[in-house]
Amino acid sequence: MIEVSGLSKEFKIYKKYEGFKGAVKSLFSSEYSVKKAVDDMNFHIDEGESVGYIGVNGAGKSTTIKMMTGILTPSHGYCKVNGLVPYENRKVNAKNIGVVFGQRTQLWWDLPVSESMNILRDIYDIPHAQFKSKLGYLKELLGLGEFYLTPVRNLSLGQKMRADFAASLLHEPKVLFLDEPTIGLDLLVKDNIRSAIRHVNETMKTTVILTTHDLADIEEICSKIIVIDDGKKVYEGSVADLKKQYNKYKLVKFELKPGQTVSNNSLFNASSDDIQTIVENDYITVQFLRDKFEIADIVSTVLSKFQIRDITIEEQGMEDIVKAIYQRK
Amino acid sequence: MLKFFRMYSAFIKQQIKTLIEYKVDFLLGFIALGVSQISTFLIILAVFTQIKSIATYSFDEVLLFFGYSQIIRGIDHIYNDNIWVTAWNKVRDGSFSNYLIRPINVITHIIMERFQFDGFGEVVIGLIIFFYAKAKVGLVLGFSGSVTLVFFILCGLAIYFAIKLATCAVSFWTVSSGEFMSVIYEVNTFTKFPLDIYKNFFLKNLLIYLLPFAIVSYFPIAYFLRDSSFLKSVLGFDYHYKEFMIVFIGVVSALFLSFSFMIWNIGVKRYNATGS
Ligand SMILES: Nc1ncnc2c1ncn2[C@@H]1O[C@H](COP(=O)(O)OP(=O)(O)OP(=O)(O)O)[C@@H](O)[C@H]1O
Ligand SMILES: [Mg+2]
Repeated sequence: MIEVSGLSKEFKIYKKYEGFKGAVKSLFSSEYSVKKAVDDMNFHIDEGESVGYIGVNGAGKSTTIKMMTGILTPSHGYCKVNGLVPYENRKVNAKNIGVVFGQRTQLWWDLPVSESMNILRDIYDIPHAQFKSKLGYLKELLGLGEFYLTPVRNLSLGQKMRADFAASLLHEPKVLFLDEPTIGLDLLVKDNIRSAIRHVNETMKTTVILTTHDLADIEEICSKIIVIDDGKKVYEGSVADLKKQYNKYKLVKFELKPGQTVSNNSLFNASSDDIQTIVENDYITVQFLRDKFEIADIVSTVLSKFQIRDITIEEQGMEDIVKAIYQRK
Repeated sequence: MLKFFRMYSAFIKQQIKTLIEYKVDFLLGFIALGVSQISTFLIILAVFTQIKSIATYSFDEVLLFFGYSQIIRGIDHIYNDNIWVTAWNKVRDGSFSNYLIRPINVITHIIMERFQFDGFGEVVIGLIIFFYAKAKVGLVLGFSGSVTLVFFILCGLAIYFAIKLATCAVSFWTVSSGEFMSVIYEVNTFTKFPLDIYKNFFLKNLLIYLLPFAIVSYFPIAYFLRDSSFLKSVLGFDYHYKEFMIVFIGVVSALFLSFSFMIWNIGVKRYNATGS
């Protein structure tokens, strides 16, 4: 469905000097540096997959999305969406894809949501019957009713996002590109958008690619994850695999009553990969493989030796794993 | 095509609604435009109370030029106004991206997004002056003359369109080109008057070949008012049939149009989508 091969995008950044004198100097110099926003990217996405495309700020996520949607022309390599090269067959490709940018609405600022939808019907040549049923469905799914006649400029961020999302689905695209669709949304709207994405992905077999900084989006929506850094792919794998990885460990944290001394390795004598103990001020943290140890045993061992004020149990989260991937480079 | 007009009318309807909401704004805009129209008109009047003719043209003939150029300027103003916004902002703030993800032509999209009612003021005043002057001059067009005139109007609109499109495309290189576009666009002011009054060789040829605003209004009206000898005076070569002018205007318009589309297409490929 989507094929990305050797895809690169370079931006020329002309050298600027500081101050007014510098501005004059910049005017006459043509020195520039090349920023490789996307650098020899390769991946493949099948029909019906839902892929989380993540990375730190400036990693090149939006730039990749812009090439796959036909907005930017790559410097090297190519991508194909549904057999088409987006930046060469812009208009045909546009019919197959839906695009949402969480940072910017694509609806018309002065028009009510209703009018925007009508114009999109004409732009995409959507048959009347399909338009009516689809719109009814989306209004229901995303709760557009309460602000359907309001001009877009008067909508709140969450309302705008929901309207934008509905607008991207009217023409039943085969692929949906979502660049930070949940940015700045409250918990309820986030939930609403997430379940809508999931629903569309499951019922319509729409391929979904989304970028986000909220890993809960990935956990709830995606089947696959691609991590990029500095324009290059650093990790690719299924979300299920990733979950297995981080579900391996559990963490128990004990807060000691003051005035006790703990020697580090005296507590558990197992191989250090299976269980680790970290002592820090008045805290003891035990991290262990969940299928090798019972939490009750760990707790009773510690309780038998120390006076404990408080106990907290933590699951290792996706964040920790992804953070490790980000930091590994 | 039908689809295009349906979308266009949806935008127009919405703008009428907005106009009604912001009555005062609309009224002020309309008054400001009227004042500027009238002041230009008064300047002509003032000039003509001193001298009875400019170059070889009588007062009424000059009015004819003026009226005709206002009509074309006004039509262009009405339908092709959003391109200004595009040149000033859309590339800089990255909202140009929105055009690229839709399955319709970008230029069509830009045009239909905005319908500028202010332009009607220019068209109406232009029409009044044109028909008044036409009657005073005693110009009779007949059928073939009218067809020729319509062709000239289309060519004139094409020249405006081409110049605006090409200058707008500059923003793909410079991020914003509103300033540049308005400097170039304002050159059209020279052509409210017959070209003969400009003795400057450079200016004259600039207006014919480089920024062919002369083709917009001067050539068409001179074509109706003069015989073939005017060709020599402006183009520098003799031609027996003044119908050559029709070909000349058509060809130059077509050339400029294709040239500007070319620049535009190169520019769109360079567009670098700033903003997240
Ligand atoms: N139009 C542009 N001109 C010059 N440099 C650009 C341009 N667009 C992006 N870049 C640079 O390319 C790199 C990748 O940017 P991109 O917007 O793709 O990052 P991102 O992964 O989407 O980040 P974020 O999570 O912050 O949205 C950044 O270093 C950015 O400065
Ligand atoms: Mg981004």
